[in-house]
Amino acid sequence: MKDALSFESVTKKYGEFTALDNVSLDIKAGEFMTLLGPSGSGKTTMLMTIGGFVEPSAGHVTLDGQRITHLPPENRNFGLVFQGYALFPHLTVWENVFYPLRVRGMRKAEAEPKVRDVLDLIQLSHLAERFPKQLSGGQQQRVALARALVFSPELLLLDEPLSALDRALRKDLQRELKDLHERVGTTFIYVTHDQEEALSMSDRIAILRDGQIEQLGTPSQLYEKPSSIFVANFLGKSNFVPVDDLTVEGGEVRYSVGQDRFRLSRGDMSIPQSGELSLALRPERLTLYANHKDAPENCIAGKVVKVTYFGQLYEAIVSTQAAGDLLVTVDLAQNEPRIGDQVWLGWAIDSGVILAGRPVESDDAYAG
Amino acid sequence: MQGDMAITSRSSLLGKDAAYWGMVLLPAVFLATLYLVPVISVMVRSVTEPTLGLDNYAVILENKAIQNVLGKTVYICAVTTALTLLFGYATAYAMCRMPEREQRLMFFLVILSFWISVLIRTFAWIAVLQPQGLLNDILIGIGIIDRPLRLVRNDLGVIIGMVHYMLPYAILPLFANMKTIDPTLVPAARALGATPRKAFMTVFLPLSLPGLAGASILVLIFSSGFYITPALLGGGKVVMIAEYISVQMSETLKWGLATSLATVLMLVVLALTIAMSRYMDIGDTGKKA
Amino acid sequence: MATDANRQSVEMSRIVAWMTTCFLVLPILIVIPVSFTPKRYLSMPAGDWSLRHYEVLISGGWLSSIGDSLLVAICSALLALAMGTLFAVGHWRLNNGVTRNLRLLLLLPMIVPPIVHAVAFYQAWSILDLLDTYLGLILVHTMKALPFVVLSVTASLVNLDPRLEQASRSLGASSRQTLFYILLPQVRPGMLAGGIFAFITSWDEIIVAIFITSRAVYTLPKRIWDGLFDNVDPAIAALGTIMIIITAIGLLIKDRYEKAQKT
Repeated sequence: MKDALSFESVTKKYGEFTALDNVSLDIKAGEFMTLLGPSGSGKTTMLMTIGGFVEPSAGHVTLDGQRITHLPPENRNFGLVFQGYALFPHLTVWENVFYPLRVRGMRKAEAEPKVRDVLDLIQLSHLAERFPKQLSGGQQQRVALARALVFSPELLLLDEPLSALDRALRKDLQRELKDLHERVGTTFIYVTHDQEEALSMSDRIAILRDGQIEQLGTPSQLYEKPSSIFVANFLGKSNFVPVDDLTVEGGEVRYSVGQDRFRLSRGDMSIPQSGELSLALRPERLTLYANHKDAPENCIAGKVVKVTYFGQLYEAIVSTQAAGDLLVTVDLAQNEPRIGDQVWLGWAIDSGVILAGRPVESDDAYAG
Repeated sequence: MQGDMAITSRSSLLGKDAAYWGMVLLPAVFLATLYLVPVISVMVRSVTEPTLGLDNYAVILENKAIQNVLGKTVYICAVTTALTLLFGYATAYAMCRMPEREQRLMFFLVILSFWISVLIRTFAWIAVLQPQGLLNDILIGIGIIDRPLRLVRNDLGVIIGMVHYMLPYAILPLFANMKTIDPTLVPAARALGATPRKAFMTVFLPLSLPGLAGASILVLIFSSGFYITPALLGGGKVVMIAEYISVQMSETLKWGLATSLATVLMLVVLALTIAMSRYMDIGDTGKKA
Repeated sequence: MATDANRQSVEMSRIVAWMTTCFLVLPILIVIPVSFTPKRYLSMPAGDWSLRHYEVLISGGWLSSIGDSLLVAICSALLALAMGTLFAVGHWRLNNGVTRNLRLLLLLPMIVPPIVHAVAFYQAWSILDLLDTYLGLILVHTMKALPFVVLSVTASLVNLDPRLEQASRSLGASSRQTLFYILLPQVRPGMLAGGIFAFITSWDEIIVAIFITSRAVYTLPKRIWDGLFDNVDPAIAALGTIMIIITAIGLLIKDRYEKAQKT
């Protein structure tokens, strides 16, 4: 696939504050790219730079190889869906969707079929004559989408479009958005701070932190093989176990936790070898065993100290001598863990990643 | 955080700011030349006529007649403000607790009186209060008095007319302020053991104090420069500063005195306005200059 | 919820409130019966009603004064509306230290006492030869009305989402298109309110008019003022009655409009 849009060493400073720090990124034509990060990480600045509302202090933005860094927003032909939608309150749904065609000099009669089509696409044709304030949040969201799509933009930029909706509605609209992306085939660039949203919808995710891209990859790459404690922490829950005496022999890594040695198959991971190191272990990669003989090679003894029931699974906290408290998920097919049980915690030799550093706060270990 | 905020700021690099500067500067220049220059030349004239110096201000400090006018102005303003706030506060307080229909009716009547021209209102008071007026007719008719009472051409008439004019200016901001006070707070204080009186004094009154302060300064500002009602209902017997200035200007032609008194009045009003801006939003959109 | 003691104090304030409201409204309403008196002087009609004072209004000088007032009020309201809207929109977009200070300048005519204006403009207009001219009075009324337009247009901009402008640009509209299609329609209610305020400011303005006009420009408030000084003319009651009715109708229409907006 060819690149639709590229960032070439883009930096944006607001006085002393650096919002984007030498960011480079290639977005492929037709992909669903998500910019994910906490607030202040630079994700919205990035989106607004693409939209033309923020001019970089250095570097360039290119579209199909053409530099568009200084092109005004109205000449970019990008659809932009705002947080809170920014629907024009004095125009009806139909007029809102007609607006981008109107400012391109199209007459009503000419535009009618296009507006109809896109309203059909989002299933709101029956509300065409309503005003925005007469619509529910979800409906307003869909109108904002229709308005941004009606002029067949080269890219669709979405700035936390679902953040104002309640949880159940958000799930539905995530599915609809994903569907819509497949049907229209336009490149979507999506900004969010919601990791679940990012994981379920994106082709690729760029995780931003302090104005830089911390890691770029597919959702499963990021989830399974985070490159830093920050990413492991930001996406889902993770245990962080301090490790020592790391050795690498060919495809195999050995490490110590307390007195015990453990094994990890390296795969294509790059393993940091100096400084403080941590093993990141997802709770669902840990399994509880009643007896040592059932447990795999990598295992550690402990005692169940807390159990929480979540409907589809249990979460247990197991206190261990060597690795401290570890969070484990136990699905309902297994025996219900009970507080006070003496257990063995095991994980496969291809589970977990070795990361540089230690988590900053101790209770970060199993706080998502 | 900072980055996100900067993006939503309106003057990033959208469009050409020059056009917007033009929009701002056209009316500003208009006002600076045709308004500010005449107003400032009032101040200039007060220290240059008849001779350069502060002679006019010395006259203001010494002259008995002017002292009387200033004293009368302060006295009438103080009484007017006190009465207006007393009745205005009670009215706004009651409006907040009325059933909606009754509240809307009262609001309508207050607004109606607010919009009626001050001349028509003063005319009405002359019709009511003058010696052959409605009130005296009624009182004589039912035999309470046998000679008409003097209700105009004295302090009483001026104060009645001024309180009448100022009341909406107190009721409307006080009502707006009281509406923002959480109506469950007073019952909460009662539930915690406060008597009704105590609950009012310790909860409602302190919360309505900014509104009260704002309204009182607003009334003070308007009444200090008031001209129409004192001139008509005072009938030359009750002379306040505004009328005195007009006499200096149009009859005795003492421009030095007229301009220096106008300067004093303007400075007092500006000082009051600055004080008021601490309690009231004079229409700014949030960010104080 | 309310205890007896509490209810008593609320009842008390309610009685005071209605007394205050009567004090506000009843004296004004007196002008209605007075306007129908058949006598030449101010009096209540005793059984016999007459329209003679209304007839005076459509003959004589009253009509020409109404014409003068309308001309001055319409011209100054339009001027104030144009300049005030320009300023409010420009300030909303730039919103920096300079424009915030300029805004205080524009609000000044609302705060400075009218008698000071009278002194200032009498001096300045005599130098510029604008005394007793329509232009002279229109300029003063425009300046006095400007703050009200700035305030009401600003108020309608406060709730305007700045992202609407970004949205419009991202959808392909130029700055000009955005101004005409998005910004101005949004401030229309504020402009309407500001325009009405400006018109009434000029229509009611008396103090400066007393000093800077005499015979060539003779507005309605000035004629009423002279009428009040010479001998209290019942024609003023007839005029007052008409103005009260117009005001009441205007307020009722506004109420209706606001109710319709809410639903």
